[in-house]
Amino acid sequence: MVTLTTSDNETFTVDKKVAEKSVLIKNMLEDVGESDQAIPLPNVTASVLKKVLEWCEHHKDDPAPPENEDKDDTRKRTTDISEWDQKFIAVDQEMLFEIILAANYLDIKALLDVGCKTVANMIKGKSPEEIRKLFNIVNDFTPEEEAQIKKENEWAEDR
Amino acid sequence: MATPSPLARRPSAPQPQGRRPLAVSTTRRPSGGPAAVNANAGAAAAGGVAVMSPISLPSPPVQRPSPPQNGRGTPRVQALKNAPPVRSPHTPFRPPPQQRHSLPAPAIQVLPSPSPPPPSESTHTPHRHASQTPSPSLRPVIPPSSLSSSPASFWATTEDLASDDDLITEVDEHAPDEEFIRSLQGVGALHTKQLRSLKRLLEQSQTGAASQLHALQAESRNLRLEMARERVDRERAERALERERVRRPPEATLDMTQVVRGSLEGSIRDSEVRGALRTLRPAERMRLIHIILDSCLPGDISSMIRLLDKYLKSTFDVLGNLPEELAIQTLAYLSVPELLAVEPVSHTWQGLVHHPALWRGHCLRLSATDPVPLRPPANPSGWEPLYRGLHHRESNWSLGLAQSLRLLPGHTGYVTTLHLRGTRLFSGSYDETVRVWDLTSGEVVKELKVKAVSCLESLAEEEVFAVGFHDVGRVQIFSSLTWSPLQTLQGHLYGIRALSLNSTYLVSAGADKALVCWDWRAGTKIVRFGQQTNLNIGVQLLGEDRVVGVTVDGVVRTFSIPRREMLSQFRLSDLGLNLLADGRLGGVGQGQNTLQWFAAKGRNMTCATKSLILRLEWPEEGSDSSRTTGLPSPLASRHPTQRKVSAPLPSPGFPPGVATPQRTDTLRRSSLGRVSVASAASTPRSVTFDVPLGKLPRIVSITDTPDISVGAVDPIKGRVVTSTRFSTRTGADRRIFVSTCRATQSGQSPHRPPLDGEQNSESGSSQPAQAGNDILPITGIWQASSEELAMPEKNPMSIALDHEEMVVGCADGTIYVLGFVGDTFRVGEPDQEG
Repeated sequence: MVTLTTSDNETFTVDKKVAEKSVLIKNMLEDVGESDQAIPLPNVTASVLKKVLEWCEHHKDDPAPPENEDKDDTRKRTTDISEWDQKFIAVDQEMLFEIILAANYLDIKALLDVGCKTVANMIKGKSPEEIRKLFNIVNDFTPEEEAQIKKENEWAEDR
Repeated sequence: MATPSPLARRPSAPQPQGRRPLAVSTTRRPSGGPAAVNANAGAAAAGGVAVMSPISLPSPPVQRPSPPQNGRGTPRVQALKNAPPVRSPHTPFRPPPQQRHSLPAPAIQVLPSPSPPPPSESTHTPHRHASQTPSPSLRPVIPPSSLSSSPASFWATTEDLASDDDLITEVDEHAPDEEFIRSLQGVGALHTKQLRSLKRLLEQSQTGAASQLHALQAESRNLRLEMARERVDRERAERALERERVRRPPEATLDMTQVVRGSLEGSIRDSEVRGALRTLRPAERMRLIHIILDSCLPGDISSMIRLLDKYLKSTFDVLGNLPEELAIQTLAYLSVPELLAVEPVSHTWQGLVHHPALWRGHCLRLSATDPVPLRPPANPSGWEPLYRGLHHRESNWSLGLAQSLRLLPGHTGYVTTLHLRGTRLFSGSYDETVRVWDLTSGEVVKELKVKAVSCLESLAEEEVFAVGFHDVGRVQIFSSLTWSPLQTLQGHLYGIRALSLNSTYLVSAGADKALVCWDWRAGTKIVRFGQQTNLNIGVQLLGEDRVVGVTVDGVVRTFSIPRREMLSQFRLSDLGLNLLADGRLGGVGQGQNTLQWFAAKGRNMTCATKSLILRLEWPEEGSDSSRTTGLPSPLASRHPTQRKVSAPLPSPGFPPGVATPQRTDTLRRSSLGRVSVASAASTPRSVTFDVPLGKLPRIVSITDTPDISVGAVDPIKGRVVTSTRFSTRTGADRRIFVSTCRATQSGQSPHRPPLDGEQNSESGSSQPAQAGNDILPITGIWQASSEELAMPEKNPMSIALDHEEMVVGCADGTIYVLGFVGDTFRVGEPDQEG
């Protein structure tokens, strides 16, 4: 069992197998060796860590991702997300944001992928105006600038 | 009658003055008396009817001559005089008659003219006569002039005896009458003068009035303009006021209080509040919020903070707030069109969209199947333009838009075979030469004098190429470094039809229907397969030591070289059970449907009849390392499955037919490594597999085509280029087509990653391969130059293609290169040039 302490000083005790979904924790454990000391996670709050651990628990038996494929730029990009993950990630934007940051910090690649894919899916196929509404973004382009961008990007659409 | 009238006329015509009557009076006197009396009598009678009666009464008994004469006299005068009064009825006073008074004299002379006056005219006469003194004096003229007139006048006088007295008195007054006339004339002159002055006055006043009118009109116009201007001004002012009101609506604040008051009463209408708030200017809105916050209770504020927090959390720029690296990672999931579509969201997003890392990824993905690794741009900002170029190249291919054209003249006979290897092009021709071209400069690097060439194959990693001849059953192997012949393989009866070579073997198909396998280094024949009952259209070395031969009748045979035996044979038409075939394969190889051309690379094989292109793929089995593709990225160097690096040949010192130690070493290595794709040319990766030739190949696609005769394949990109026969027949279909195979079973064909747009549709699809090929005629510059290219003498005899261009060898010896890089020619603008 591994004990984790969040930034807001809450402690979580989880199975080692679950905790090791995080490459960060895994490496720490390897470096430090087995100990009863809590591992401090100063970048993660309790509410987020709870969510992340929920994911780790569910995916604890997944095979490890192939090592060398992580930076493969030529592989096909798919934004498909498993059903369970979809339900898991159906949170408000704040939590989604925090999960992505936490997954990145904890180095949980599969979870990070889920988060990024979710954001990508939110963006996909939407007009800039819809995206602005969705994310409460202020349009800092003039209509002329916007038209100019559209014109410059025509090449990608025409064929 | 004829004589007097001229006389009378003569004096009268020149001077119709008032003086005239005097002269007349003398002649008038003798017989004039009665006539004048007559006239006067009429006048005295006064009243149209009265006058009429004297004339009309006598006329029945007497006959025409006289009364008409008389009557005529008066009416005539009348008629003449009548005209003036009619002419100027506006001037009602006497003066006009007086003026005219002078005229009657001449008029009277005309009287005798035979025209009978209408009796009606006479009715008008009387008044005039009454007032006109001169008329009696005129009368006498008539009697002497005409013989017939005398009785007439006589009759008249007798009839009018009653009024004779009056007449006499009048006659007596004749002398003073003239004076009177003169005075009258004076009066008349005076009158006319007066009249003239009056007229002038009138005219003056009229012009005066007109000018005044003009002035008035001008003034009114000015006024009207001014009014309009004023109205515009007023409207503008009103509008400005209104705008002002809208901008700074005093009502809004009023509404606010009302709204707030409404809320106090317990019913807040959200929409009203919202509407009122929206009309406020930002500063005012902030003030209002401040006021509200100020007036809040402490508890309200904390709850409000929580509320605001919630709002802030529920919607905020997730992507823009992520660390750049993560944002890029997210955006990498978008295809290029999707990516560009989100660019206008905000400046932050725009910056992310143009991040070089994204474009690098897209570039690498798009060029993953290029035979040459993509050369990274000098600096990261070059990735995006590079992608753009690649995008155009790919879409040009899929749309058949050739962008550039280069002619390579040189050959003088049919260019029967072309082999493209990077920037190097090998061409063989019936003109008994092989030429090696450098495509960057367009120059001939080497010209080899040989026999009429039918086929050619080059092996890049060994720096050799093999040439098969058309009329002699010989294959020659040359070094592509020294250009010296290395081996001559002799063993076919007639010419060579096709050949294939790898680092160990060479297989040649002869016109004698046999397939012969050689150890090309040693120059020795290994085995001869003579099962074919028909001509071979093509032969291909598969894997390391297997051979596929296809005959024109559509029979495919596979052989093993080490085992020296045939492994399998089947008819292409037997593959017709495949769902894709749709019955179209039935006749392949028979009758009209003999195979026209054949091309194969690796596991892919393409054969075509006139109307069908059939793409086959041998199933792969065993280790599938082909999927781990060698990356053109920096990562590529670390890639474990990189293929062997062939040792460059010692250029000069390689005696033909004898393998140097170094060479045998190479040979052994390559054969040990069971690595080899026949004619892998410059492909930076190689595919390792055991082709299970006992199995039937899978049909990748079947494309219906127009009547085609030659073709070439880029199996990695899944492209087929074909051409019709450019016959001399007028109106013949002379076109070149490109077809891109879009059918890939996910996972089964790792060679061709989908273009960006289609990756999603394909993801996770387990659909069977589909013949979703569109075959398109090559347009762009080819179309623009079709007058030159679509000619019977430019009939394509051979075609080769790589990822950037296609090369066509023509019947007249011309070779031309169509490049697909660039974006000069676009869809819908086929005529655009330059």
